[in-house]
Amino acid sequence: MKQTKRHSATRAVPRRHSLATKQAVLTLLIALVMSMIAGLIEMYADARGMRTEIREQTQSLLALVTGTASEAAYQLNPDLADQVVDGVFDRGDIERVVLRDDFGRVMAERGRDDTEPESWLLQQMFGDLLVYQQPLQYDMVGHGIEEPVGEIELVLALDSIGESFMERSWLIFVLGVMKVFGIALFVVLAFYLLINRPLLKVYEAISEVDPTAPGSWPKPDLGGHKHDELGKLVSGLDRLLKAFQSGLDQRDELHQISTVDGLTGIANRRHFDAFLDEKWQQARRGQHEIGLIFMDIDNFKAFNDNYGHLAGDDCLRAVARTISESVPRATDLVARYGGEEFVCVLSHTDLAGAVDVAKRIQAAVLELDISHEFSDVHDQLTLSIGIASGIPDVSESSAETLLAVADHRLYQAKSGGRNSIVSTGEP
Amino acid sequence: MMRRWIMKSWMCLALAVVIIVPARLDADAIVFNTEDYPPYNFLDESGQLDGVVTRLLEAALDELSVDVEMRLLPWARAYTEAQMRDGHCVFSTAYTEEREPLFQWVGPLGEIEWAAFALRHRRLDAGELSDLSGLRVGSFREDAVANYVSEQGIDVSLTTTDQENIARLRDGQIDVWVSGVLSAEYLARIEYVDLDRLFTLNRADIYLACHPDVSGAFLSDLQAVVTELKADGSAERIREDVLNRRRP
Repeated sequence: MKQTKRHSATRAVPRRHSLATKQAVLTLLIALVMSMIAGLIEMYADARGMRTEIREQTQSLLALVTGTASEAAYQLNPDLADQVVDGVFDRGDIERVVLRDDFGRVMAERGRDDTEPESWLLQQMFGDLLVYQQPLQYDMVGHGIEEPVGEIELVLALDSIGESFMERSWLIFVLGVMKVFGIALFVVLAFYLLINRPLLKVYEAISEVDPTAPGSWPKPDLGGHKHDELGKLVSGLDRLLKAFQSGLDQRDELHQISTVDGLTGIANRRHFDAFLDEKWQQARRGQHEIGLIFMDIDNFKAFNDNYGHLAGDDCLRAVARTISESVPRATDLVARYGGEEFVCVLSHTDLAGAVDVAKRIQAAVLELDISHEFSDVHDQLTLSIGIASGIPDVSESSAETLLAVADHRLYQAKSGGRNSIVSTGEP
Repeated sequence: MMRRWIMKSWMCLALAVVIIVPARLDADAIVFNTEDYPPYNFLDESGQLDGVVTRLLEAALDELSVDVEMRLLPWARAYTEAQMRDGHCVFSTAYTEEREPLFQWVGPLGEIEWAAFALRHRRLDAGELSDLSGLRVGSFREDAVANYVSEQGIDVSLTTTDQENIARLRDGQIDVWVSGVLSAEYLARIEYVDLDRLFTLNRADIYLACHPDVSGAFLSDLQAVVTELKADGSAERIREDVLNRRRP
């Protein structure tokens, strides 16, 4: 439960903020702009092609009718002229067609009267292609010499040219846009498969990292990316997390070393100081009892001198274990205070309770049955014990007084003949 | 080397001039347009211009020692050029009141009588112009009789040359052909078509019609010679020769 809370910083990214979405949107946006430009270029190219087409088609149309038109002009034959003009006009896309004789008179004419001014753009694109004037020549007297007999003038209809251009260019534009868009879609897909998806895997693996145990993260397997930057990213991350893990491990080890007594395996003086301070402050805030027991092995110097240091160390370990076993509550603490001195912090314990615990410890140590021939009080190993307890005064700032009382009573127990428990008397 | 090149250039230039000059009509040169309208004017079997009026004009021009270019064209073009373009005349032109102010006139060079014709075997019964309504009548463009008949309210189907009309008559595309009597009978003889002359329409003198800007001095000289040729019987002799297909 706590785990997920801590992960809130790396919670799943909303889809619209995701890298894949951003990339897709950006790519498609670029594709849109590019395709527009490409479409316009294609339109321009098509317009050029269309210009050539229009010119060629019109010129071939004129070439087709020039013979007959010349004949009509030569004969000054209005019926034939009408036929020519009709034939040309009915081809469509023509605004006006006029056949004139060489005296400048109109022989035949057809035109549309629904001509509206066309757009500026169309004028720019096709305006210069609209008017065609084809002089008409005829070998009038059969000497092989052509003489002018008139002209045919043709004006193309800009609106129908524009219409067919729009139709064509719209198709070309749409196809161009679709082409570029298709490519963009492939690019998006390829990028997703090649980069975004493995990146997403890395992201998910990172979001699942347990900050208390970073070394055991679910290292993603990226398949084909082992040797590229993504692979390096993952292996680099792995090294980083592993290094972080070893740092945590070292920290834990140091903590252990700094709080545990190396010889006996129970808490050391430093841990005791911190623990007592914490518990004492709790007791002061809560105004409840806190008990403190000071213990000292009787005539331990003589024990050491006579049985040797190894035996002395064994003895200290045994006593420490025994005291610890006699104080099973998790809220209490047994520590080695130094040399052959031990202390015990008892939360929520009044003097009577502390005395009970002390008696239990005294009995348990006796039961260890460690013989001590050089003791001046007993033939077995014994303890002198001083006890203090009380509710901390709010005006006090530390457990100084409690410590002093316990220490004083231990001193009294020792000076009073050892192997005893003292729980009264002030320093 | 250089010299040869220069010579070649000069030859090219000369050739170009030769080619270009006849195409461009000299402002001073006078052109007599005419059409294929036998027996007044026509192309003979050898491709030479011939005809009653042609020969008369040639004789008059010989007398004056003037050379003109004679061009055989479709009637509408021949007539329109003379009407619109300086230096141009046209023959044989029937003199009518409508045409009178458009030209300077030299003649008369002969006369023309128009009639309505039909194929003999059709046995059409038509005695006057109004009988032609409802029938398909043919003539050719800018022809005086075509204009005359049209003005009387008869629809006339026009061709470029009158030769086409005898073919149309034979093929049944028209019922009646209005044409000059001499010309029609001449063509019918050549084409072996049996014509029935329905009725006479009109008659007119024929002239050389010239553009108003053609030199008046030249035209009065021409007129004087023509008058003389007619007075001394030469004109009549030419007429006989042509109608009997005699070369001079």
